[in-house]
Amino acid sequence: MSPERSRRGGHPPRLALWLLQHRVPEHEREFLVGDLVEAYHDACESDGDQRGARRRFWREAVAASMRRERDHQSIPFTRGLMTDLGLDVSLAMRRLRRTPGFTLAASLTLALGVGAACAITAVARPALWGALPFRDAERIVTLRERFGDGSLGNLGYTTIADLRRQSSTLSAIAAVRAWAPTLTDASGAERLTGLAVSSSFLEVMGTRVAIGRDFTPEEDRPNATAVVLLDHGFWQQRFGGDTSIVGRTVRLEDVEHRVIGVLPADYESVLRPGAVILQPLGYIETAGFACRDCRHLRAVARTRDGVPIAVAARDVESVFARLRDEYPAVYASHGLQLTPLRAALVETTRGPLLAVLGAAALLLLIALANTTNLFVSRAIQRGGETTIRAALGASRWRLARSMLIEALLVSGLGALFGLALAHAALGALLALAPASIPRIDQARADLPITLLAVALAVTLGMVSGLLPAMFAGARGLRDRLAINARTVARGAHDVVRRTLVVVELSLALLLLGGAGILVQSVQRLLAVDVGFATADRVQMALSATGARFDSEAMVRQTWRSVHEAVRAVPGVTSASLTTQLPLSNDFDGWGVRWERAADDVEESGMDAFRFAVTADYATTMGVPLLSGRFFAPTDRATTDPVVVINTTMARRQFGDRSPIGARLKIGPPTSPWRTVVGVVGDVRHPTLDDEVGGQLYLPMEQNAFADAYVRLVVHSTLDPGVLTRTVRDAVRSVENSIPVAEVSTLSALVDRAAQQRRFAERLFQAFALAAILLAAIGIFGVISGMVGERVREIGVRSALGATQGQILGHFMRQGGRLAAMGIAVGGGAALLLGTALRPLVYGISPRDPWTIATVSVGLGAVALLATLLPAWRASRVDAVVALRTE
Amino acid sequence: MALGDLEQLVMLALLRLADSGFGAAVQREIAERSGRDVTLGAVYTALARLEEKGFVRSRIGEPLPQRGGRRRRHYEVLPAGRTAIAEAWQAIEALSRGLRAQLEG
Repeated sequence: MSPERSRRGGHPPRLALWLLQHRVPEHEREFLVGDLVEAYHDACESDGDQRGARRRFWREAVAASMRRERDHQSIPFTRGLMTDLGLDVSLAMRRLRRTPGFTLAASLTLALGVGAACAITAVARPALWGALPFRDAERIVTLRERFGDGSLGNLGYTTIADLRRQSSTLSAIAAVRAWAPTLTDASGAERLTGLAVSSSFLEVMGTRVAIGRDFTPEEDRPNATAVVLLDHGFWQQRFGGDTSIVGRTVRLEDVEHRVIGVLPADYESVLRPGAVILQPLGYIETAGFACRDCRHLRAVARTRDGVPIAVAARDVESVFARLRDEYPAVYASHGLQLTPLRAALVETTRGPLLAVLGAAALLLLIALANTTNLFVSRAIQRGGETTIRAALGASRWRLARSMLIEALLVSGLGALFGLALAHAALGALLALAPASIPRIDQARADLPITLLAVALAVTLGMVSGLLPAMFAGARGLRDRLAINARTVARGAHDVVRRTLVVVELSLALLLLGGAGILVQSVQRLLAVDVGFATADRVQMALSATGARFDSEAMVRQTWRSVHEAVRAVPGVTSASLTTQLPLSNDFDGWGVRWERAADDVEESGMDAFRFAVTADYATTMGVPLLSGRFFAPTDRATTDPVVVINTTMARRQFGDRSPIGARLKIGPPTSPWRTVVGVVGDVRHPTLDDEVGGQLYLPMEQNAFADAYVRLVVHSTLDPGVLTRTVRDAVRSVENSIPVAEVSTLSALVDRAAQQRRFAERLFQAFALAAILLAAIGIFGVISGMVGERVREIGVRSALGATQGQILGHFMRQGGRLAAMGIAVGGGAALLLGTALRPLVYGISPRDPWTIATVSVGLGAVALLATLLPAWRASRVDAVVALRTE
Repeated sequence: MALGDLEQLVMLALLRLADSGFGAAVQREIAERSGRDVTLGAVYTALARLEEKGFVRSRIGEPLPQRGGRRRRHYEVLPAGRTAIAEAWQAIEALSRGLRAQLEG
């Protein structure tokens, strides 16, 4: 047999070979292993059954490794340290099996902590630490205009074009705009989420198409051939992963678009979650909507290789400064903000995520304190055995090790349970989590989370196993041997246990305080006057896009007919159309210029959200009219342009004077003057907790252009389900191709606006509940332990005349002192650390003293309650019974 | 000196294999002839004992490529071994005489 032939079956299993090299006695290793290798190759040769041969090889290897009882010449299975370790492990397992109550309690406590930590980490990891699936993702930055008040906003196309031309540190820059085309095919119409992007977009993101090709600059111009790129998942799901789709066309907005490529599977639309289709932006600088103050585009850029972020930031800032000097009217005192993509993604969610992670960490620490306490008690119970072993010459390390191994086994079991818990909890968490957490769709309990659980298991095991051992060994051997039944055991371990309970109580107070503040915060947020009525109202998004709606007249006519049709639905009290709905995702802000009659100058006022509405909007939404009038059907395109503003805008511009009759312009300088005819109350928009800014209403008929995308609000006492169906039918009766989307009640809309805080609130509540439970168990355990160890002392006391009340009082004082110390430390920490909650808090100080005081009292009560049972048991100790054991 | 059950099988296999007896060959011979699946480790243990008892002797061969450059250890039965196996056989034969019907029934 030649070596070449022998190699045909592949190499025998390496791990098995390794095992053999280490386990077979040297005097026969070469021959036995050689035999096995030869037999392996023979089997591969003759039967060609490589798997069978491997299996046989493994079996022989394992059998050869285990062969020790009969053959005294072989190496013992465990040698030196290994022997003892193996022995210790099997001893520890036996001991743990003998005390299933302890094992289960300790490991489940740890499981709670590990589970919470792993689940929350799984949710937060993709956003905070997970690698973005783009080449050199750290070079991707976002660019935003920074306004006078420090707020950040989108850029106008011309600004982006200037930055592209003049910046020396950016290798590519792309403008991005949301796009929501309606896809029509044999199966019907579907509204897609998409993006319109510059042709340099994929270059900026560091991504290449998986199939087909990227956009060309020629396609990124007005009136170019319509082309699109598809998201990988969407291509799989909608087109069954058919590669021949590339080159074919799909019908979007009634126009054939050619599919030129498919994005790679790992591409994630982080700029707009769920965007499944890309088209070229197709802007040129001469277009009307491409101006500098038409700020409706997001900009992403890639820094040149080797250019630090700070240098790039200075560079774009200086380019922008030149633009500002050139166009002071447009840019005023604005600046340009360059933010790394990752930082921009987690800007608003980083704080809340870290706060929730912190809460999980606190819970983990409490669980650890509790388990450590259990181990301390166990060490005390085993005091006699330990003392004898020490007297017989066992080293301190050897004694500590047995406890350490037990602790590691328990924490390993805890981590296993915890991981199962995290798996189970993750589903619930994802259902509850607000969509605003970036990359939430990437959250899963995968290998890194498992590794985290393993790391936690090792750390927790080390701490909870070594701490009691450290203190158990603190007292000298002679002292320990001298301890007899009459001595009150009040050694170092007692200090440890008390300290742990104090730590536990203070951590629990931190969590409770956080939960208390968040609960109030959410309540206050939900109690915020949104400025409109939410009862009995449903809303839905409608869009009129595509070739059929090419002319503005057609769009306007369609909306008129839809409005009429819906109003005519039986049971509908009123119905209105609006281009923007408070607290929805709509965001349509405009610059406002006021007329100063005295000197004939235009004065630019605060920006305002534009609501182009039908005349019955204020009635339908229940927005209160404070002065003047709202619109009437007589406000038409041909009549004088009118506008209604909100209270904040009126007060900001006019103070106590009436704004009625004043004139303003919105948008470009060429737009007409509009006369203010009324003032309405403020509504909350775009979020519940944003300070209310300017809001202005104009008749839809008088808007400069026909909005293709509107929202329909219906006020009716009908059941929302029934109402939605009838309204949908009414819309369809007017125009079959209008997709109806995002249907919800207005109360659901408000609820969703509070979702991020509610998520954090629920988690804190759950953690706080677990914390208070663990803290109560902890203090109960310590007082019970104290009572148990001091039965004789209690017996002596009661024999000497102590009343039951005195003994009860004694132990209650013990528990009370621990509770007081824990609460004092925890209260102090809550006041110090409260600021961590700031991003989550609304309408209440993150270290509200009343809340902290209230939860302190609550926790104190629970602690005393947990003390009461063992203390009562102590007071019932019968002196005769207690002393009879002497 | 008496022979263990496995030791008997190993000796018989070695006798059958004549000059080409080594661990894996013995194992295969036992498996093919008697259908008994013994591990190679057990075969080596038995061979070591037989060598200790002076029933077999071994010599070490050349490194072989199909064994990854490892050498073979060849075993051969010594006269003492032949005697021992013969005695064991005689004992079995003597004791089983007249029991055939009973054993096969």
